Amino acid sequence: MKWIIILLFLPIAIFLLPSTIVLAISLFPSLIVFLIDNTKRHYMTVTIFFFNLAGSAYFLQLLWKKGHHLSMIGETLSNQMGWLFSFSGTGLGWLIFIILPSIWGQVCKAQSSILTIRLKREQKKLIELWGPDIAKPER
Amino acid sequence: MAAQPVLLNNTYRIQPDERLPLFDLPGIPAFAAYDLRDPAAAYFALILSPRDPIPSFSSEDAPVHILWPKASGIVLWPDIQHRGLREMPVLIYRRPNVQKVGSVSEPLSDIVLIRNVIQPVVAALQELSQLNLTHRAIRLDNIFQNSDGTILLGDCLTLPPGAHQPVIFETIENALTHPYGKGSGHITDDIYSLGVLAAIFALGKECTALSIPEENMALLKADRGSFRVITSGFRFSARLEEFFRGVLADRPPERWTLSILEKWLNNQGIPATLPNAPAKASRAIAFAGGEYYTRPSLAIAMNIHWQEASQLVMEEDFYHWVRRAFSEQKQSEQYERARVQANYHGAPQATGHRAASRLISLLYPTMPVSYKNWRIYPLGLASLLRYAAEKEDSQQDLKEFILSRLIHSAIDAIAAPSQALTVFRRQLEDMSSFLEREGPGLGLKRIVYELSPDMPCRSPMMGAKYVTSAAQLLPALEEGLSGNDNSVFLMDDYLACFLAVQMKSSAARDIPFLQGDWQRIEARLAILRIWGHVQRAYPAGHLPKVSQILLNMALKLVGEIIRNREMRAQTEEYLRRAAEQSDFSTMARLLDPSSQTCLADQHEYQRAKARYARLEWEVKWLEAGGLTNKNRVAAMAQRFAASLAILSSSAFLAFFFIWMMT
Repeated sequence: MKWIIILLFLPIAIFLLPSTIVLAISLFPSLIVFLIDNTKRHYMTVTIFFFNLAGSAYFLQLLWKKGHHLSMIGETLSNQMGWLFSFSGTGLGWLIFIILPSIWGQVCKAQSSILTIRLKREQKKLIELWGPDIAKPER
Repeated sequence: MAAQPVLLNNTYRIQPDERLPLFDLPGIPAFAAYDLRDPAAAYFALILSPRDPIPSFSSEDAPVHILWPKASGIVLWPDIQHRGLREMPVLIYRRPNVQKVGSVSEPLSDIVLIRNVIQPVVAALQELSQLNLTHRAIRLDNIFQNSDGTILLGDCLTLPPGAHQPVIFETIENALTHPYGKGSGHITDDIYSLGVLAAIFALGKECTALSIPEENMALLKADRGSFRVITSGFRFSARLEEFFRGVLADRPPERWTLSILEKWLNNQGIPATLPNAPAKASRAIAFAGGEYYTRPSLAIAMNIHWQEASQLVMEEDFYHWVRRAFSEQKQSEQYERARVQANYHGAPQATGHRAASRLISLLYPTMPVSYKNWRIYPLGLASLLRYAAEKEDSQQDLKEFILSRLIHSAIDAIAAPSQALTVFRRQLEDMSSFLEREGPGLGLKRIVYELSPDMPCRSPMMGAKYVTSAAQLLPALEEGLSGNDNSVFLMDDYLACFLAVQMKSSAARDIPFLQGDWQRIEARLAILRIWGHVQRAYPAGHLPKVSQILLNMALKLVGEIIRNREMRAQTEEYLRRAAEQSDFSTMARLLDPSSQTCLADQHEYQRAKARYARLEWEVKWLEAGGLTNKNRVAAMAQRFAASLAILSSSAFLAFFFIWMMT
């Protein structure tokens, strides 16, 4: 599957070589993250990459405005706003990746309490309807 | 204060305060009675035991020379023991102008003896013979003297045949038999009793046989012969001597029959029969301190010394004696076979007893069937069991006796058994299975009711009622209950046996469920079903006390059978409505485990139980941190973060490039 994707995107990458080079350089933080990411399925890399990619759109917009030539790569990459957006995307992705588990944990805790109460209520109804023997385990 | 008269069938008036001891029978008091249609006619009533069946009889062919009942029925009689009224069976007799005989001091002459004693008794026996009956109660305290001096025989229907006969009036075999196990016997047994009676009248005070102790009588008769013992050595006229020798013959084939007696009374020629003495052995056998040369005398001694007999028959000496002393090879083979057969149908430790029984029957074929302390004739088993089945110390031996098939073998040994014996043999075969198991509706009590279908139900729950059919059960129960009987199961062993016999095709099928603890659901359901069967077969109207007890039982059962509270409440409501109508069969049907309601309840209960278990598992999983598990939360959050990143950045890029294009 991996090789199919590579073979599919390689011609596009070659065709859009200047964009490819600019993206490759602006997505450098994602590469670092990929190297240090030990999560299953590289969720950290994916999160940071996509936000990084979104931030790198400024560079692409600059390059395409200036004519999409290899010679414009240097000028494009020297734009400070571009790097600001690129690193901001990276930072946002990293922030979301760090904060979300604790928010998620609180949500799960609340959900667990609500579910437990609901389940116990249903058990109580069953006992009222069928008697306490229903709670005795099958031998 | 004069007691209230008691009415029978609105026809006879019985006076509880007018006793007539003249007509009393053992254990049965007699009271004056009057016919409402004919106040001048005098009667008397015998008040029978409420535990025994009413004798059946026909008043149309009533014998003239015997006290014979005119009517029978059930009356409400003052019960001193229970301080109230109780249903008692009663027989009504015409009250003759007689005197009781009791004892004889002055001897009668031959003519008077024949006219006043022998002829009337022979006439009575002829009347009975036509009815296919025997008397079996010819004795001094059961005969009356008419005003002309002739004898009138007393009642012969009320008590078991021969139950109260003094040993002197009994043949050797009957003397050894249990008083309640004699069966109806044979008319020649009555002829023997007539001979004894005639001898007492002929001898008066000179009859020394009356002073012989009863325990010595049977052996003495066997040793010396009944003729010599009863006639006390007195020389009679030739005619009377012939009479006594004929009627007091110890061997039944030699004893006079009714036809011979008739010929003798008519002075016709009697074929002479020489007494056939039993074969005498070439040498005696020592047994229990005595020496015996004949098989009958040995058999009698073995009956009397049973324990020694059970050991004797296990020794080879006995069989050697039989083989050599009588030189009869075929007979000795029979004895050997009997010993082998004794190994079967019972515990090994009782083999000696079974062998003794079989061998006594071979030694003396007309002897009653013996086993330990019990000696009976087969047709006497019913009356014996009525008397003995409830006695704790008798039950084990009686069970062994019946299961050992000794009675079966005794009947099989008879060359031409009567129809009654053939029917009884078949009944015995069917009933043996009731003894092989224990429990309500089984055992000796069951056999009592099987053999005596007219037996009243002896359950204490019947209270003061005399119940002889299933149709009377529910009203009797209703009357007998006090209204505070909340712990009563409304069933006991007597009722179970009674119903098993009376309702074989319906209620009897539920009796097996009563085995074991009655607190079990199956047992209580069976009780409900049984009363449902009875009520359906014999509707008895509204029975509030019975209904309340069965309703209490049913309501407890509802709680145990039906689990769903709503269904339970509904069923309880239906049960209450059925109880108001005393509709026990509907109550049983509502709680039938195979009914739609119960099956649905069980099915839904299983589903609910599974659901509860599932919920419990989920609660435990949640409480153990199933949803809040750190790793799980982290994994889900990371997945969510990645998804959020993909979606949001894809949306952003899409908008960005569209904006760029425009």
